[in-house]
Amino acid sequence: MLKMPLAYGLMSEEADVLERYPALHFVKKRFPDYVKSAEESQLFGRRFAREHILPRALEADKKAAEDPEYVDWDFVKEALRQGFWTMFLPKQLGGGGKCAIDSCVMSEEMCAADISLTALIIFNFFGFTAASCAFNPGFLLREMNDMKEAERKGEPIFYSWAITEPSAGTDVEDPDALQRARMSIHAKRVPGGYRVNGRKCFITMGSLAHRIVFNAPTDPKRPMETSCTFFVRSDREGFRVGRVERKCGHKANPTAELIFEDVFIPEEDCWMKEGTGIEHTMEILSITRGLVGAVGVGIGRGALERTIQYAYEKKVRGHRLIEEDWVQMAIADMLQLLNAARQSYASVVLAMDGIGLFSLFQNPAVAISLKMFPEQLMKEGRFRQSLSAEWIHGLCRKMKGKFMPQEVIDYFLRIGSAAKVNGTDAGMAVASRCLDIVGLDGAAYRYGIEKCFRDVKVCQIYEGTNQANRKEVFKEELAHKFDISFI
Amino acid sequence: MFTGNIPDEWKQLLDVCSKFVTREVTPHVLEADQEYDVGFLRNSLRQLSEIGMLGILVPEELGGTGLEPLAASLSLDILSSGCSSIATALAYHLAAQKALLEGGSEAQKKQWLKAVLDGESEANALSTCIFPDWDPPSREDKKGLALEKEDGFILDGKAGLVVGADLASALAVFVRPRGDLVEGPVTCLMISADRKGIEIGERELFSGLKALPFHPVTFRKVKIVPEDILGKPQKGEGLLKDTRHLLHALIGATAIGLGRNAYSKALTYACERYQYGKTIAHHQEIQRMLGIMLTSLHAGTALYIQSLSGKSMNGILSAPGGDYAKVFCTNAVLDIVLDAIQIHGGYGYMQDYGVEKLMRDVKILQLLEGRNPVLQIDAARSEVDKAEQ
Repeated sequence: MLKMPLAYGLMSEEADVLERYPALHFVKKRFPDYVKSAEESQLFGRRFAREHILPRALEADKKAAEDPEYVDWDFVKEALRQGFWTMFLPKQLGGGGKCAIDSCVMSEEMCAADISLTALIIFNFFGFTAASCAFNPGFLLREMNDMKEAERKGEPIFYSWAITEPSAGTDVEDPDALQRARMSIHAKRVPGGYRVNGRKCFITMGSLAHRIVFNAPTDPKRPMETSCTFFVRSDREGFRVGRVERKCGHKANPTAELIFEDVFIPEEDCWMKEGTGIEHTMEILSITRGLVGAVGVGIGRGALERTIQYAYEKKVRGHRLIEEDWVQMAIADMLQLLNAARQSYASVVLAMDGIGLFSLFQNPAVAISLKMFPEQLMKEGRFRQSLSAEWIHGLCRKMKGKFMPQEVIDYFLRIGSAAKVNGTDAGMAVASRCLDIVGLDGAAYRYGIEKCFRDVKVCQIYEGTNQANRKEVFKEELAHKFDISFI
Repeated sequence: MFTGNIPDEWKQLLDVCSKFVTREVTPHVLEADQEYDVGFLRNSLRQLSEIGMLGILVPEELGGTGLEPLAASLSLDILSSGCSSIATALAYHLAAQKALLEGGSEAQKKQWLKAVLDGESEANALSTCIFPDWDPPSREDKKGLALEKEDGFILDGKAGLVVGADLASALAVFVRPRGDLVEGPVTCLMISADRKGIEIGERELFSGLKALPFHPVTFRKVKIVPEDILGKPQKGEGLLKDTRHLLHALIGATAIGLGRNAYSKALTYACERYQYGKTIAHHQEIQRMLGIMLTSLHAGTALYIQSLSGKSMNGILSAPGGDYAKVFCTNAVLDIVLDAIQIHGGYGYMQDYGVEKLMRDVKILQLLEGRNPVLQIDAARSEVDKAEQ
C-alpha cells in the first residue's frame, strides 16, 4: 500500500474550499451560508473518502476484475447510513437540501479517492435528475419519497439512465444525429401503454438498478419525432439484465446490457411523450456534463496526490524524488492544469446554483408549493397519484419552462460540455504523466496510481464522447446563433 | 509491411513472425491478459526459438541466424502487433545477447550460446538484463545491488524489478561497486539465474504487459568468479551504453508494433461504425485522428530503424541513440492508443475489444529502463557537457 504521510489534499483535516475555488471569496460576502455549506461538504466528502473509500478501493477493483457483477455492499450500506441518498433532496421534503456546489466539492474529494465506489453513489442521482427534468410532480415526489424510505430502512434503491444502444451512442445524445440513428429499441403503442423490445448497452449500474429511465421511439424509423422517455422497474416482466461488462477501469461500478422482451409499459410510466425524448436527454446532459468535469479533475487529483506522497517518501541519490527539478515542474504543471479545469467546472456549478435546476427548488413558487404539501401527503396515496395527471404535468412543465427556458438549458449545454472536455482531458493527461514520475516501481498495481490512469479514460467517452461534447460547444456558441449548418 | 529493399532472409523471417502472430498469438492474447499463465509466454518463446529468434543476433559461425539488430527490431515490431509482452521479453533477451556478443570472450560465447542454439530449443535458453538502478537511494546505500570486494568479488543486494526473471536462465548483470551506486564504474557479468544466493522474489503485479513476469531479485553474497565477467572488471560502461542502446531501440520497435495494432483496430472499427448518417471513417475529425496516428507510425518507424542503422542513412545522418527512439515511439504510441480507444467510443473501454489492453501495455513500455523525462534530460545533459568543453 502507498504511504501517505503528508497532511495534504485528501489527507488534510482542514477545509480548503476557498483556496481551491477562489470565486467563493466574493460569494462569501453575500452568501456566507452557501460557502459554509460548501466547506462542510468538502470536509464531509473528504473524511468519507479517507475512512470509507480509500481503504476499499483497490480491493473492490480487484474483486470486480474477477467478477464484473461484484458490488461492495458494505460500502453501499455505509453510504446510505451517511445520508447520501437524500442529501440533495429539497429541505422542505426532508432532504439534505444540498446544492450543486456541495455536490461537486464532495465529488472531487471522493473521486480523488476512487471513482468506481463514488459512482455507486453519485451516478445514482441520474434517477432523480431524470425525474426533475421531466418534472411530473407525482412521480418526482414518489421518487424522492422512495429515496427517503430507502435511507430510513437501510435498503438502497439504485437507478440507471439508459440511452446508449449497441448501434447508437453519440447518435442518441445529439438531436442532429438522432434522425438517422439506427435504434435497436422500439416502444410499440398498444392499448393502455407500450410494448418495448430491444436492448440498451453500457448502462452504468444496469445490473443493480431497481428503476430505469430510458428512451425509446414508437417508430424506430423516425426516432427524432417519436422518441419517448419511459420509466420501468427492474422486476417488470420481460425486462432482464444481459451481459455485465469487463472494463479497463471503473471496475467496481458495474456496467451492463439491458434487454427488453415485450416489456409492457403503462401509459402513466411514459414520462415524456413522443418527440420529447431527446429534449429530456439533452436537459439531463446539460446538468450532468459539468459534474463529470469534476469527476475528471477528481481522478486526476487522486493520481497527483498519490504521486506527491510517493515522490516525497522516495529517496533518490541522497534527496527526495520530489526535490528534483523536473519532478517539481511536472507537478506544478499538473497543479495548474487541474486548477484551470476545476475553475471551469466550478463556474458551471455556480451558474447551476444561480439559474439552473438546483436553483429551481429554491425558486419562491416552487418553494411555496413544496411547503403546501405536508409529508404525509407525499406518501403513496391517491393525492400524490393524482399529481401525476397529464394536465398537472403539462402545467408544471410550462412553469418550469418559465423559470428555466430552453435558452438556459442550451447555455448549460454550452458551458457544461466545455467543462466536461476540460476536466476529463486534464484528468487523463495528469494520470498519465504521474506514472512517468513514479516509474515502473510506482506503477505497481498495489499503489493505486495506475488505477487512476485506467479509471479516467472512460470519462472522456461517457456523457458524450469529448468529440461529441466539442461539437455541442460549437453548436451552442456559433452554429445556432449564426445558422451555420453541418455537412 | 516492410516492403522496401530488405534481404530475402529477413523477408522470410518477418513473414514467419507475421504468421506466428496471426495463428498462435492473436487467438490467445486476450485470455493471457485476463488470467496470468506463464505458460503463454513460455510456449510462445519456445516456438520463436524454433524459428531462430532467440539466436537471431548470434553470428552464423557460432551457430546462430546471424542477422543484424535491425532485422531483430523489425521482427519485434511485427511480434508486438500481436503481443507486446512477448516482444518485450525478447527485447531484454536480445539486449543480454548483445552484451555477451560484444563483451564476451570466445569461451564465454561458446558457454552461454550453447543453450540458446541447442537443438532442443527450450525456452529456458532465455536471458534477461539487470541494469543499474536509475534512482539509488544514496551513493552509499547498503541494500541496493552492488559489486563488493570480499575474498574475490561478490554480488550483494536487491535489484529492482527484473523482466522475465523466473523464465530467464542467464542474467546479464550491470553493476556498480558498493559505496558508489550513483557514478561508480560499471562491471558487466553474465551468470546463471540458478547460481547459489540468487533469490527471485514474488511477482509484482501490473495492469499492463500482464503476460510478462516482473520480479524483484535479491543477491545474497553471490560469489563471482573471473569467468563471469564480460570484458574487464569496472570497464563495463561502454558495454552498458551499447546494451541500453539496443534495448531502447527494440522497445521503440515494440511500441510501434503495438501502435500499428491500435491503428488497425481503429481503422477497422471506424469503417464499420455508423453515426450521424455515415460510417465514422468518413468524418473529418476521425480522419484527422487516424492521420496523426499514421504520421506517428511513420516517424517512429523511421527513428528506430535509423537508430539501428549503424552507418549513416543516405550519407546524411548518423544513427541517433536508441533512447530517442524509445522516448519518441512510446510517447507517440500512447497518444495513438488513447485516440484509438476514443474512436471506438464505449466499445474501446471494454476488454473484449482488445484495444484498452493496448493502453495498459504501452504505459508500461513507457516506463521501462529509464523514465522518458529522465532519458530526455540525460540526452541533453551530455550535449550540454560537450558544448561547455
